[in-house]
Amino acid sequence: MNLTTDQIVAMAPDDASLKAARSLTSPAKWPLLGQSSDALWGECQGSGSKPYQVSVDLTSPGSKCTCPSRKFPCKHALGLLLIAAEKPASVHQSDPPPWVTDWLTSRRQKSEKKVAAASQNRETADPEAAAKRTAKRLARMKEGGEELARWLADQVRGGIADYPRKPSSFFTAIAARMVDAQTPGLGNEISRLESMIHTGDGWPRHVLGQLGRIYLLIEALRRFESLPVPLQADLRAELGWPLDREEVLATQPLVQDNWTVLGQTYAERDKLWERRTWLWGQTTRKMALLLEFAYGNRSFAITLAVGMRIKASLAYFPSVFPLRALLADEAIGASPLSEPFPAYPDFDSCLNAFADALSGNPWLRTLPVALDGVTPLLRDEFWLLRDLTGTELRLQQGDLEKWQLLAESSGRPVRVFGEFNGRELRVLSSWEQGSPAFVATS
Amino acid sequence: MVSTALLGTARNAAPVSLSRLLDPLLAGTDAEFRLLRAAGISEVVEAAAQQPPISSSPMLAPCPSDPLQITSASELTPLLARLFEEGRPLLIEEACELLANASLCLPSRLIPRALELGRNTSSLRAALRPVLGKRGAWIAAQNPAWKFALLAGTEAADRRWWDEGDSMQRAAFLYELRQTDPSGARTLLEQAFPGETARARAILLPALARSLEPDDEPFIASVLSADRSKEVRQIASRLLSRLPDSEFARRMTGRLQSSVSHAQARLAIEPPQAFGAGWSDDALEEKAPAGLKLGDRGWWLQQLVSLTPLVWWELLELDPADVLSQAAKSEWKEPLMAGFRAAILSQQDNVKWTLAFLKQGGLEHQDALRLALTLPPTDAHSVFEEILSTSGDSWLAAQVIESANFKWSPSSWHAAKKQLPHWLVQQDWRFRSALPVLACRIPRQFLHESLDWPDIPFFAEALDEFYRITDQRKTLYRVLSQ
Repeated sequence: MNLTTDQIVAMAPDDASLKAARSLTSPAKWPLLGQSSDALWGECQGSGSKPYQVSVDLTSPGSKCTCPSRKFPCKHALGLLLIAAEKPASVHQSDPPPWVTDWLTSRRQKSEKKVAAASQNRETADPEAAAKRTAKRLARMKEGGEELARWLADQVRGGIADYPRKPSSFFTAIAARMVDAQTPGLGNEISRLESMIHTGDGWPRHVLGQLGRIYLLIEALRRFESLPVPLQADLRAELGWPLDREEVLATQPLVQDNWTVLGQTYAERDKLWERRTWLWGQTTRKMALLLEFAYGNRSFAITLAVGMRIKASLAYFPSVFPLRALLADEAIGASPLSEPFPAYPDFDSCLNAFADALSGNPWLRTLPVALDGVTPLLRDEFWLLRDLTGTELRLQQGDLEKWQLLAESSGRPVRVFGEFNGRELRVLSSWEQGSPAFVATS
Repeated sequence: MVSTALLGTARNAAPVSLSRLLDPLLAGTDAEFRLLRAAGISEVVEAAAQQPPISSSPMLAPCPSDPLQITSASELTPLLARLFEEGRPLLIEEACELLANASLCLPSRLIPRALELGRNTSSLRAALRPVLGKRGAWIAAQNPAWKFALLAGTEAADRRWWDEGDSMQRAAFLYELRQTDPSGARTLLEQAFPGETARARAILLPALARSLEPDDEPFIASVLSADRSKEVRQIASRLLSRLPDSEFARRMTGRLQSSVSHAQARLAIEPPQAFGAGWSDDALEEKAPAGLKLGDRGWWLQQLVSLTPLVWWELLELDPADVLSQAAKSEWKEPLMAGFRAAILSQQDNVKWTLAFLKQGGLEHQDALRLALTLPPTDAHSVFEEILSTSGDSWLAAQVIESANFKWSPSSWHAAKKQLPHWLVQQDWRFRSALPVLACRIPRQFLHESLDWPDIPFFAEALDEFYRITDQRKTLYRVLSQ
């Protein structure tokens, strides 16, 4: 698994770690440096008397360091990776010391145990107890839903014209009630409603649409038992009650394939970091979304970056349109993609795909799409993407990103991957001859 | 539907309707729920039925491909990315210069960041333009904030710099043209002058300093007498002071003659008693600037000395060193030295005077440095070497390192290397911040030398930075010298 400097930079939890890592790239600081086909390791002189022992697993993304830092990967691991990428001659091939082989062995064992435990869970899952828990929660949620339905009716009866003058507490109060009723998803929808009020002249339409969306969720909740099982799962996800990870790993079939990372985003809200990683399976020809969370630091255990390819087994969350998935085993690094992934030739096919997805799961927000032959452009201060038929769609990107995307394409059609919400596209990567050219950085 | 929602169903009882196809879905509910259900359905239906327009607007022509562009796969790209992120101007300038010499341009992905850097730091613009290339120009054309790069990828000799560039670029064009066609450049300036702002005039006029000739006198004299901006007139007066045969020079000489006499190699200085008639027409000022602790007479003397051609003093049959040493002992030392300093700075190519002035000493080292920088490189180096090798003061050394902004000679570097242990021992924080700058100064042939650093924790971080910079420079030279 050969990482490029760009990919290593993308893995850093924050700027301070990256800066510290760069200052650790002089081989003089590393009394011991070595690599084998499986791993990369080193001893780094820190401020203490004993040097820190750092190792990086080259087959299955991950690293370990004896330093006390809570960030992951720590600056020592990043520094080691940077040395390997930029000064490979300083890292000699040799046999790994015992502390490295011990770590690798325990990693393999843990991974095997995890897979075994998952299949065991599969066999001993108690369906009856699970059903009881579900029914109890569902009843509570339905009560909450009815309360919200009455609230919605009040709103519509009295009229929403005075929304802009309502204090924030008006909305946070009902959102909090929904959290109490164990439907935090409905609470989020109320918050989203509130933020729509201040978006300008067109707010009544958007707010009404959102009220309608919430109402449909409640209507669906009323008829929960009669919904097809995959749709139940989608509804639960919207209501803020997704399946447990363990449950998913225990009950869903495992899909093994070579997966390429096509895009990645990081978002932070109230100190909770969310990482979305989009994977494309070479044989299954399906997309998967890994959703991971970290509190405080932007530290994620599995180091994945756009352009990497891994061999792994995934378990999809049930859904009418399965996207979200979990890694069921330790991913193993694979060589980069040999053939290009498929892409829509124009926006029309992309929109049809979105409509299809919506007809299955009406609450779908974003669809991962790959498009060929699109040209980013700026016109009258609007950022647009134009396909070969001349159809144009709005682009949604960060400030410097827009220009970086424009610079990579320079007025020529390119292949992109991004998230489509029905109206706008957020480009997460552009590709040239099988390698990522533009990569969204936030 | 929206208006019903705004007013409330209590006030508007008409049942909401979607379409014939969808209305059956709304049956059997109260008015409120009917409206909510309709809103929810239409939300989904609209999302699925999006039909973005096919545009008939023409697209911007794609950027011409630039064969000189570095590919993203090059090992230089991450290095350059880091340089731009860290924003250290000296290294960025050096990297851009190396790229330009190898006739290469920045990779696409770095162009927006480079443009932002040029927008915020105008001193980097001249270095960035050649390496932004055609692609940079194409992108800059789409963002008014990046106007400075519109002519990236073109040379100062390109006429478009005059027609389309900003004031700095136009001044650079004139300066370039003055080398091959001085009168043509002057004519261009003459024609443009009436239509320019005062600020632009102040930036463009100094370009005439190159290849200054007597034919330039009429135009500059007209600027001196008629321009509305004091700053511009002062620039004109300084230019004319470099033409010893001009009317202006004659007038100044006449005025100075009244104040300076000499007998048997001794100078007698008697500053003017009054501010003469017609002096303000020549951009001289009656009142000294606030904060200058000189009396009126001293101030007038200073101005006279600063604007009279230095060659006049030589007619007194004294050499520059002699004149200066007598001036330094005179009771009018301050205005005289200040006047000489200004004259030497504006009347360039006066190596004798500059060296004499520096030898005279008593100058703030800052001033000495600035003066030394006006010398041709061979002379400047000797001055710097002297300061570096004689000064054991690390604070001063730091100043030299930071302001000696040109290519150091091997002997300057060796002088610094020898003094290094003395400077380090003083553990000066100013010197610590100059260490990374020192790494940028090492002449390229010595980059590979290893240095013996004493183990002082105070400098640990700065030394890391020092080594990183030398590593970066070595890579740049290795890759681009092939």
